[in-house]
Amino acid sequence: MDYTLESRGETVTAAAERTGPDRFTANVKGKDYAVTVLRVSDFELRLTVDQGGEVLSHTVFVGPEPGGKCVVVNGVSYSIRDLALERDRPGRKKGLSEGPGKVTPPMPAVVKRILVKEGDLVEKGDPVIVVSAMKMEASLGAPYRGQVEKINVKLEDKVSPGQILVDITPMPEQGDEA
Amino acid sequence: MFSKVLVANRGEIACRILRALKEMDIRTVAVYSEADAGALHLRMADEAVFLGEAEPAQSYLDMDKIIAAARDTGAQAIHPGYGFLSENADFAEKCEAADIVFIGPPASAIRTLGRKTAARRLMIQRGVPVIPGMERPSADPAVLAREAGRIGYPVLVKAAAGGGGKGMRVVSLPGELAEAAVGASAEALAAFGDGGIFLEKFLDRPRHVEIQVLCDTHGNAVHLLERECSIQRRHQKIIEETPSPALDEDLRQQMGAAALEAVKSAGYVNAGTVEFLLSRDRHFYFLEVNTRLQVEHPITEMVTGVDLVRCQVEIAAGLPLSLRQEDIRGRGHAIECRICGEDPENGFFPSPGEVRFVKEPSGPGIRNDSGIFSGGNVPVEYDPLLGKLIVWAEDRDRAIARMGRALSDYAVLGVKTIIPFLADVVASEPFCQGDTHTGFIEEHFPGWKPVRPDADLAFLGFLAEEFFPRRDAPKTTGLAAEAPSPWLSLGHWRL
Repeated sequence: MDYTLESRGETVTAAAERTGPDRFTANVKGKDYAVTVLRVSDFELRLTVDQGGEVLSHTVFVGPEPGGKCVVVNGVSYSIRDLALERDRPGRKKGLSEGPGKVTPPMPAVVKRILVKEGDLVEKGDPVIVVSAMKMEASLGAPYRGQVEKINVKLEDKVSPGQILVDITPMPEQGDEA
Repeated sequence: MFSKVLVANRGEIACRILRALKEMDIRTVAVYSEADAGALHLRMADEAVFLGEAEPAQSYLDMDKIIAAARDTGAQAIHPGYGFLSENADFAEKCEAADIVFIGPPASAIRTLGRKTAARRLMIQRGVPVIPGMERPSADPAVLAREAGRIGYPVLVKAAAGGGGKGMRVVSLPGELAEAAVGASAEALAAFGDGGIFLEKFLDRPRHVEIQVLCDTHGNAVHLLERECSIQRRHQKIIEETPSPALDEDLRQQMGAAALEAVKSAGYVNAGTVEFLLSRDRHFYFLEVNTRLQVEHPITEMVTGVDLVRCQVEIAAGLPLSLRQEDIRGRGHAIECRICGEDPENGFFPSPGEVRFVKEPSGPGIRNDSGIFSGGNVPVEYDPLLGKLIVWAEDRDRAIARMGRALSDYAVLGVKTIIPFLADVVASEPFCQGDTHTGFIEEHFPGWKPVRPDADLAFLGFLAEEFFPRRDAPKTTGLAAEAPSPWLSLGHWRL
């Protein structure tokens, strides 16, 4: 099976196969690995990795996170997504998009100020809503030129990444023809 | 001794204080907000009182609610921790009026030392060296320009009513002063409700060295050596150590004596910390007094063997200090790393949310003061200090090695932490050389990005989880709604 994995801007193709009740082989970035897996607990795995005859064991911690998994190795966390899974997944709900084209907070936050009202025209980048988290404020901008169609939240609402706070109907850039 | 004490705080420090109280056989009361209903600290106490909504003003800063909680539960004393109401003189007075002991200094000492310019004047009177600067705040550009000329550029514009870097600006040229003053004043007004600013001489790459003191109600006072807290990110300490690589016994004694003079001059009681800046030519200058227990107090406890929280409670109960200055000796070396819930890969943005899993390092010389647990929640409303990792070893080199090992054994899933950043700092050459100063991070780690030495192993970990998922892993193919099937136990299938 081929996997297309992405982590922090690095995309990697991995070919991997289960080879037993506790082992698999994988080719990652051109290197061959044979891995035996011991599940220590729900989140801790002990991997014994044979790479070209050299065998070393490592503890890794793996847990789910929105869009993929987080793997902690030696204190450093790696966020990894399976790009193929995202493409194939049927019926993705509206609102779960992680694309930049939405007015959505980067982390769980609280709505502090709403800077526009329904019907306002906004340019790309105009700040439309200010959210606060851990005593820091962030202002979220319009992802494109358009008209504010609906404001989906009110002051002091708790909001999460993926949630669309303001619906904006895109309008063509000035000078564009239909 | 008190039979019941209320802890007016949350997170790791509330847990720390509750532990000390339990060891002293004192019954404990925790308080909590809506956001902390599942928090660790309230499960460590005998009783817990709900305060209100998550907003600090409705809960942890609400003096009346907290005092009512103490009265209703029969708590005889309140420990305020750090932050929140710990340096609020009004709160100390309200406690006194309600016949509840405030575990900390008297309101008068908090007031005297809390206002920076007033504290400076007091130090000058008592012969404690201070940084050349203005005695009173001023907004008059003419006054500021004249004073800056007298002090000598570069100068630092500072807020009179508070710290933490708010309302601070460095000015190197006379032409920049007016605008810097306006900006700093606005920031100070927003942060502290007081736009007063003053000027100080700006020191080049100083070390931040502070002295821990304890004063009882019988006229005894001791200092418990120093802590160096020069490793700061945006004026927030993140790594602290003791002893300071820059101090010899002579300088330590001088600074200790100056610290005691500083607190005695204000009629200080209980635990406090006198902060100094140590210039490169080894002159020390008074910065301020923190009239409370500090975040980094554990490193002092590790090298002296003294339980500072216990001392605080004993002093508040009227007991005399059992320590004499000659009893206080430092042994070995201790380092603390603050485990902040911020994402170092994303501009250190706060990373609140559910802590899916946490496994802290352990072993000889390792101490964890933590407020999080697997399955717990990190709320957005409070500062992101999840816990502290403290190590002790026989000397600095071993302490550094121990901290490096401990950080690499630390696992947190669900929220991001600055652990990779801390590890890089602790492993760095300048840190190992002890070449630390308050500009350390800007000088050696500007625009830091995490090094990812184990990315390949991480990909293997991802695949291992794919092939051998944990029992209750949600299925990503949408088949979860169907009846359990032997196909699912084989792991993910794709063609």
